[in-house]
Amino acid sequence: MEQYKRLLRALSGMMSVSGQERTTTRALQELLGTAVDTLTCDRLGNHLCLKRCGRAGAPLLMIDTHFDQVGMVVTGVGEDGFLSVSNIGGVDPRLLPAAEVCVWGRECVYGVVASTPPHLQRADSADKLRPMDTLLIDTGYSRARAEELIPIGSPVSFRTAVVELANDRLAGQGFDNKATAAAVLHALSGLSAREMAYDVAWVLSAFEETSRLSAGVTVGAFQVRPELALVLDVNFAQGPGVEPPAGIKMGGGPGVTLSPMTHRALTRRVMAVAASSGIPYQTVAEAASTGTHSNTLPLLLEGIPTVDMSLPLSGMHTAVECVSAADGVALSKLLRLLICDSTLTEEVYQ
Amino acid sequence: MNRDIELLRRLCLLFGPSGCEGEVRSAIRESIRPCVDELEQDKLGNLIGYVDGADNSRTLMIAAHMDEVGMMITNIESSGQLRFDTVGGIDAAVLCGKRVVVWGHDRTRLPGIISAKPIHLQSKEEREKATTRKSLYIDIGASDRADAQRLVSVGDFAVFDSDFVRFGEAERRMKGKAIDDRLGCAVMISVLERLRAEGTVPPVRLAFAFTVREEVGFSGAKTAAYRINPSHAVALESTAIADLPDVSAHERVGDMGRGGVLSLADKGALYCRAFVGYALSVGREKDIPVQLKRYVSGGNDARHIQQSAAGVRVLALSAPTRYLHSASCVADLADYRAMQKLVYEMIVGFGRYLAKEDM
Amino acid sequence: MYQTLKELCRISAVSGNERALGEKIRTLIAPHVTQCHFDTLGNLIAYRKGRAAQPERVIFAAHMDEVGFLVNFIEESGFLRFAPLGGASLTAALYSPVVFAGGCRGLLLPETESLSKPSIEHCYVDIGAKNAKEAAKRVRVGETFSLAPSLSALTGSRWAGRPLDDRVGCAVLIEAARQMAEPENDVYFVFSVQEEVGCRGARTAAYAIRPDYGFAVDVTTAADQPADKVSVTKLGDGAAIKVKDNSVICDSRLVARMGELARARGIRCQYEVLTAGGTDASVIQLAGSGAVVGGISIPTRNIHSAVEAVDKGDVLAAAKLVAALAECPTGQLVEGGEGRA
Repeated sequence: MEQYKRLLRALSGMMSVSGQERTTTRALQELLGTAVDTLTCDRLGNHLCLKRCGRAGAPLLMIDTHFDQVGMVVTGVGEDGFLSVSNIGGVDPRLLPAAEVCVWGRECVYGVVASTPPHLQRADSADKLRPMDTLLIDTGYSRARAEELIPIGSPVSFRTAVVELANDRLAGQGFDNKATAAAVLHALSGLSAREMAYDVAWVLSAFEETSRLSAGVTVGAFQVRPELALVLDVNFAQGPGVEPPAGIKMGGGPGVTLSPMTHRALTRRVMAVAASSGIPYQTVAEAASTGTHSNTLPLLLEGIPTVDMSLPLSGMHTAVECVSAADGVALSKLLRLLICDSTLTEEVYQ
Repeated sequence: MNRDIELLRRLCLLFGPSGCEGEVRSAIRESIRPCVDELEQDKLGNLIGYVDGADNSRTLMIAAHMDEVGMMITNIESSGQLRFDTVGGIDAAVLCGKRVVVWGHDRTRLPGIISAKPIHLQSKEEREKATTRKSLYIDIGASDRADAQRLVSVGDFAVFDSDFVRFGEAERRMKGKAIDDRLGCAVMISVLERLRAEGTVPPVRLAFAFTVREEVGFSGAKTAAYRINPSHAVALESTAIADLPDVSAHERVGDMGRGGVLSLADKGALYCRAFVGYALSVGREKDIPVQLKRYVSGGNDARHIQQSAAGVRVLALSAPTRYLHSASCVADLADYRAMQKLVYEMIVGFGRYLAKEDM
Repeated sequence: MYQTLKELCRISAVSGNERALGEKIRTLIAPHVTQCHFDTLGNLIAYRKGRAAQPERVIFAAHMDEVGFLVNFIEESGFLRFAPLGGASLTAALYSPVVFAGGCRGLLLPETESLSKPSIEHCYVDIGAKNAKEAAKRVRVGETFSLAPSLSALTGSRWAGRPLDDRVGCAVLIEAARQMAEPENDVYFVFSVQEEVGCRGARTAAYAIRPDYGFAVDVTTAADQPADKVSVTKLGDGAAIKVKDNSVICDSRLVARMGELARARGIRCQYEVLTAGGTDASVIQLAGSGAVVGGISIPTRNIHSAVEAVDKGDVLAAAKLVAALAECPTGQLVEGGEGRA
């Protein structure tokens, strides 16, 4: 449990706003160490990690965890060093007023999102959310200095450290989708080649939050050409505003999705593996779009059989996304079992 | 040199929502004990430090409130989430997505987060609406009601979890929670320390009142003033400065970096013109930045003090602050220091002012 | 360049019907490139071979198609009903002269004069035919049409007309091909089809070419007029280097490099961050193993109307920037490394 928390904290600290994924390569190399054989960064900023089982002709299993996170981009530097910004992916705008941010210009610049003083809130607009392109970030610099330090196009992320709540729950930014990356890393660490039934290609894909064309995972899969794939993302945790059947229960284990796009037989097998090993999981029924890369992968190249799994997360796209470390560890245990299970491929043509 | 910044930092980090000022009071008591001639805590919890003057028949009161805005748990849901109400005026827009500290059973500090219904699941109409407080919850990670009840109770307090950060040009901007009104308290402590260090005997008796419950309108300053019975009072506060680029010049309250803001009038009081004039003249003579408030808004303890007993001549001096009553209040170091200097010099010259005072 | 632009505007090319324009562009660009051909979907690929022993492949894409409409029904009365192709603005089209692919002329009209919100079902085209039979002699169901083209030079350096989206991009590529020195890299000027209906041509062209780099050369919003609250780009501030739009986030190293190159060559430039829109860069990015993509945009007012307006200086700057990028030596379009902080 503690190792999972440590990995999640480390990953959350890497700034990977969509389009900036490649800035984390060195940090990832250090963190992943010998858990994988190789790590490369491709043209789009996908990180491709390979861990081989050592047997010639072994099938390739791809695990996709998108590594980009939502954030903002600087669109202008104004009077008194106030910055205007635009959304990258869907940052929840409700949390912006008075939020603290890091502006990644030529150096990291601290900022506060300006909130309207109460006496200036007009009666007619008081109950309307201020659109993001009218919000300003206060850097405390003069305009000239801010222009020097912050080029247009600089990414902006939230300044939050990870906080630990009760019941092994953690809250922080970027847990969508680093919570699953932490689970994968947790699974791969200490897993030896001889135990593995597949060569594993772990793709930390780019642009999931922003590309309607799923450009990142498309290019990643083209290079990997896997036999089958697991897509890991996050799902809404049940709670206020998320009543069943929506969402999954925090602490109830990872979600495993049944949907028209994903491979039904393979998915059933994954559930059977979990059940027989006492790993808790929750069934997610998704009749239409999963909203994840599992919509894209099955249709790439000549078709890639895909299983979609998720971790429960509350506060999606805020600076206080919250997950349960117990769920992360359960997912990690399940992944290990799957990576070592050579019978999965029997399900492909069922 | 940066002792005053360290002082402000320490004060801002303390837990002190209205009605629960104990931790702040203890810390302030320790700081001012060596600098005052007499120290008392009254029935409401106000802390008052007296400094004898050349003429003890008159008293000048200087006041700042110890309490900050915060939250109170009003209900524990079956899911383990905590419903809350705000203590003092916090705009719902600045609550969402912030971190808090809940003071639970046995005085344990519990980290929590304020969350709302996921944006993806909102309808289009919902998305365009500003957040309402009713849609927000504090999540401390409890798995259900019973689990939460082991940790907290209805009625427990919470405050924003926000550290103290210096940033911007020459790091002169300071961000923290509770700058309103720990900055006022810090100004008073700095002045007390300077009076003692320089061996200055004030012309009249001074009463430094660190008051309670200002943010909820049940002002401790009222009863403190009644007890102290001053002729004049200076209320130290924070004001929402509104000096943002999209605010037109006449709607701005003042400017950051141009010194403490003196009010001529606000929603609660019309200030004593002569006294305000004195403050301005001290600013001019001693070359200390001070500005006049441009916009009529807000209110503070001064109005309660003014109407105490037979009346008190009051003045309000406020620190220009951005994002007031949020987790990220921002003030300026130059303003903080200008206020320290101005209050000190006003004390030193007060005798001469009294001699010339007219209505 | 004005003359070239005028010639290009004159030829109708609604999505799916770009060939005639393609032939014209071929005659204009052929003298400056190694080879030209039309691919399966009709994209015109003008290829200029590079000198380097191991050249990288660079695409510059401008789309040939314009927004327009498609006739889907001929009324007994001789009036025509139609459907939109691409994001044509109905408001801008009302009461306008239109030109059909086959050359016929007509007027696009609303059913009644009192309309607060025109909808396409309540509009029609009048080509002067008295009945369906007469109409059918001049136009066919399925034929495309668009607002009548025009180009004029207004005061100062303003050019206005249609369809500047994206004839101006095509003109920029032709001019860049003419201006540029011999390149190190293999340069592909792709005049794409069906961009306005979803970047369809560029996707397949890029799959075939497998570029290392791709640039979309297109128009972008210049919301710099009275009542525009948030300006994207400004007319006259130079060629716009795209940071992102709604379809793609450009490689930030490339964006930085483009800015450096522009400044080094004295080319006026500005940055573009669009919260809407989409360009061919989005589909070029995901060809094969992926490409590093960016965009050179020409700030334009009133996009998709009959009176699109650009600044001549911006257009010339865009051409210079494309030429500069095309001449960039191998391995220098993106200085290795991982970007910022």
